Amino acid sequence: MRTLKIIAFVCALLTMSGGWLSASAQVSADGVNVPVAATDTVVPATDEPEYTTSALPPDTLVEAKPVRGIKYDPSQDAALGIAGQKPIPLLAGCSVMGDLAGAVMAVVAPFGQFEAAFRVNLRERYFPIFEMGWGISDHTDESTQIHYKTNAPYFRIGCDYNFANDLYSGNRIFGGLRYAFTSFGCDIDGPDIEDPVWGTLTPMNFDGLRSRMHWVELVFGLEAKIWSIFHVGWTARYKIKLRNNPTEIGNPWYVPGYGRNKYHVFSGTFNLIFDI
Amino acid sequence: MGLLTCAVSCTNLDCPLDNVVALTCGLYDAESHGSLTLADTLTVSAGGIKDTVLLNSAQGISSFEVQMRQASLCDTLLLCFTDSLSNSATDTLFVGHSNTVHFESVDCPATVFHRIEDVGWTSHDSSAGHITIDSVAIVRQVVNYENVEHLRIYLRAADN
Repeated sequence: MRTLKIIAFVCALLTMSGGWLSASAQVSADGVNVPVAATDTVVPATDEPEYTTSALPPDTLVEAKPVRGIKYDPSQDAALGIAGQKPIPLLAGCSVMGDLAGAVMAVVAPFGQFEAAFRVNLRERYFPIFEMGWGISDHTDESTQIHYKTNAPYFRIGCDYNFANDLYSGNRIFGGLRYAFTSFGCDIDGPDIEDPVWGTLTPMNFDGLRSRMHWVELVFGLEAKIWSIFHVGWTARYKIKLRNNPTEIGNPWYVPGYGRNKYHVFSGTFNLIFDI
Repeated sequence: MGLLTCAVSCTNLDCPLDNVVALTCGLYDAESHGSLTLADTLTVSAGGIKDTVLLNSAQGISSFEVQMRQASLCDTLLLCFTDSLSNSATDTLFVGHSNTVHFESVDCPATVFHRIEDVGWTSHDSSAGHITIDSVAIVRQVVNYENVEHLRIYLRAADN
């Protein structure tokens, strides 16, 4: 008789612990309360959220109801956790890009450029970059009637640093530096220059004038991942002239890749970026 | 796009405010080599061209400016000194130079800069007036927008 009582007590304990364990498993698996239909007693569902089922009487039946709001999915978190621990290789990829703003300027403004770049991704932090473009200008000033024309390449080399904390999102915040160089020819012509005292005319017609310029650029940029290998981004650039070899009649008006020939200029790019 | 709009719409002119290209000549005393304020009246006219007065009856000056010819390699300046007794005498100053078209920007009219290559002068007879050119020195060869002295004209009294 004593043995039977002990067996009955152990069975009762196992039954109760099994129900608790199943409820606990539901909560830990989904993170939210999941109604458990364990007994034949029906309890109508209320609007109040229920955070535990272990307190219910063992013979209570709870009606199942849909989960409201954003459901927490531990599988995503686990995936991110795994990815966060995954080391980023030194060579994390390469990309090519083109500047849309310069192309638009080439059409609607007195000068512009068509520019492409090749960039290497090192550990999602460092981005050595080589930029090459073709600057064009074919402009006649309406007040002076002086015509300026150039059509020449330029080159930049530098590196960007990604300041973003999240290196896995594909969104980046850049700060960088460039060294740039161009050697180009230009044509300048306009009305003859009239001597204000003697009235003689000096022709103003110069073709094939040569010039060179070196400059550096401080770059700040943002980039966002749009789809798979496609990113868009923009950069703001502060350009500082290092050295300018003037033409034989003066400094060029527009320098390919630099812009108006001042000591320092601001400019920007709007880039379409493709990972390769 | 904002940057693009700004780049397209915001333009400014960078033309120099002082855009006169002129030869500046300082007057100095031949003995002391100090600056000289002229007591006589000075008129400067262009040689070879009638009625081209570049400086008309200036008094009490220590320097003067004249514009150089853009289409010639030599300027001939006639310096006529007139004292208070209306005695006048004329010296000639020859300034040989090269000319270069200067382009500043498409927004600014082009002009011509000069480079002084050599100078020559004549002195009048000492009995003809009270003051005459003793010598001329080139201080700065490039004649452009800058208001600096290019020539130093050393003058001496006629009885020296």
